[in-house]
Amino acid sequence: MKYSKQATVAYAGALGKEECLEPLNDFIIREGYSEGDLGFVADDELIDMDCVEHIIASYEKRSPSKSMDSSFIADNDEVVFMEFRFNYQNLKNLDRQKLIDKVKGSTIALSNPTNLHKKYYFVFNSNLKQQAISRLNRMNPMIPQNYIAVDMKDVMDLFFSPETPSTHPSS
Amino acid sequence: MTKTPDINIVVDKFRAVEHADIAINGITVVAGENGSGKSSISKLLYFLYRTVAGYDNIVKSKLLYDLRDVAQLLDIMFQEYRTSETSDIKEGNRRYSLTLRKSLLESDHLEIEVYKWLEAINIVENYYKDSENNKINPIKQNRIYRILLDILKPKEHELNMTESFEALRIFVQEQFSLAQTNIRNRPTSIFIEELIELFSKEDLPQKFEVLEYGSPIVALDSEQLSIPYNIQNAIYIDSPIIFYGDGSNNEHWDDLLELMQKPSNENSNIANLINTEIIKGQVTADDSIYATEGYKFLRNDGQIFNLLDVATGIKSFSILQLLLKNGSINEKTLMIIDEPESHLHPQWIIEYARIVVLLNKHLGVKFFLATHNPDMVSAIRYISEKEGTLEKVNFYLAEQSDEKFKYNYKSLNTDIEPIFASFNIALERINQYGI
Repeated sequence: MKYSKQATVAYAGALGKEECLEPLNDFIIREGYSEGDLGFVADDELIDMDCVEHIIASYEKRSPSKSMDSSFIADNDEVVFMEFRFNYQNLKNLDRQKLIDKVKGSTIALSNPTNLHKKYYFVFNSNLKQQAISRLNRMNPMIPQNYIAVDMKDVMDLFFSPETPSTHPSS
Repeated sequence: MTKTPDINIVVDKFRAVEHADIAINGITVVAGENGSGKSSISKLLYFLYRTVAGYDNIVKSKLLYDLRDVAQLLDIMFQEYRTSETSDIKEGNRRYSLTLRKSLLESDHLEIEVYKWLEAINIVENYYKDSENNKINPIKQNRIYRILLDILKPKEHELNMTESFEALRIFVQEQFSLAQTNIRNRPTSIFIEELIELFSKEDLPQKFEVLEYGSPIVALDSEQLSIPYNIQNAIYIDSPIIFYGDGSNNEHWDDLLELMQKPSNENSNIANLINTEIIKGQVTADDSIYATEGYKFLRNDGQIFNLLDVATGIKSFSILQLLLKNGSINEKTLMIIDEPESHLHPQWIIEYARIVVLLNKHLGVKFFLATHNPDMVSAIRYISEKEGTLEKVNFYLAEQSDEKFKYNYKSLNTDIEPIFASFNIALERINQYGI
């Protein structure tokens, strides 16, 4: 299962939210990524889910709900959610209910799609990934197991590299 | 230029440890699987500092041990001395050898102590020779003569009584002379003897070296032990169960129990913090024949409990509280703590870590912690950062070497991710069960 630019752009168009498309490289830098170039293709784009939520909230005259940072469409047509947590403070503030609300908010924003990928990805700097995995797994009450902590290297291996190595978190 | 660590411990080929080069600047945290040699390093470290810091005492204890038969002979002879003198003098005589032994352990001047022992031998020799007054009957005289020969074990010819007492004086002088030489020269052999007693001869490290500011102060292959500057005493805590451990035959437990029974008169902010913010009470050590029954936990609501009856977590903090209150912990102390998280609720694991960081920050206490707990690792890492002491914190992970059951200790500085990667293997296993 890999990222599909064509399907992602088409999905944004179908939502009427083309303005929410943003190049992946720009997106992650805006979110605070600073671990160097992993070789993402320059014009691969993500859908900014905050942008989507703000447009909907504005239209519905309500405050924006919590949302995941981004989504894209994979080559099997599934919608994949990704939240970026590159700052140290983001590890500190890992709140179970907030994470669940973000997934819920973005799912509603996309009108409860039936093709939602079963795993939700939370992307950390590689020097915090293992600690994030530990925190997610040891939350009490437990957070569902489909909330997955990864780093950008995992994201590349999972969705953007030609072949999926066997060692990364399963997609 | 990288700053040289205050202390470096280098261990090669010792039990499960293939290689370890571990820095101690403030707080050193070691993580690794069971059986990776963490406790072996802890014990090595403890007995090293116990030896080098208490070197003179160890030599004196060994001297006393070597003189044990002489002391017993003196006791026997004073007891046998039938005298018409007053009971006060008899009482004085009875205490003579006890006073000699106590004085030897407490004295810094063995050259004076030796004369006290020689004088005691002179006294008993005179008793012995005083047969005219029949102070010792012939049967008893013979027994004493046989004991003398047993102590001296003359090889070439049978000694007569006069020769025996002279030989006894020479024997005592030689033992004192050897002890004085050992105190002067601080031979490493004394430490090696301690290690052999602890681990057995075949089980010694191939290499064990301690460096202070980059300069070796201890090495098994060097002749002398230097005097350490940075660490003057080590305290080894491996279980709060110690309070049940009177007569445990665990030397480090006995040492700790003895330390905890020192009178408490220090006012410690951190001991107070343990009282007010964590265990909500304080521990006192009463004078008692049965030391472990002498600890009382005075809860802040006025209730008093025998410490043995309170939660084990409270005992963990009680050890720190007692040691702080009686002044046993200071800037020259190395606290070696195996799995400090044992028996603690997760919330108290964080509090324990906080106390460790504060003791390091405010009192300069150094720590060597071996842990299996992610919260302990995290808490030490991030509380130190918040308190501005992270540069003195070092993390290590025991990684399996090419050889099965052998581990190399990898320096992580302040990066705890590899430790979490190793802890997270357990989470993967749990997830396999679909929990």
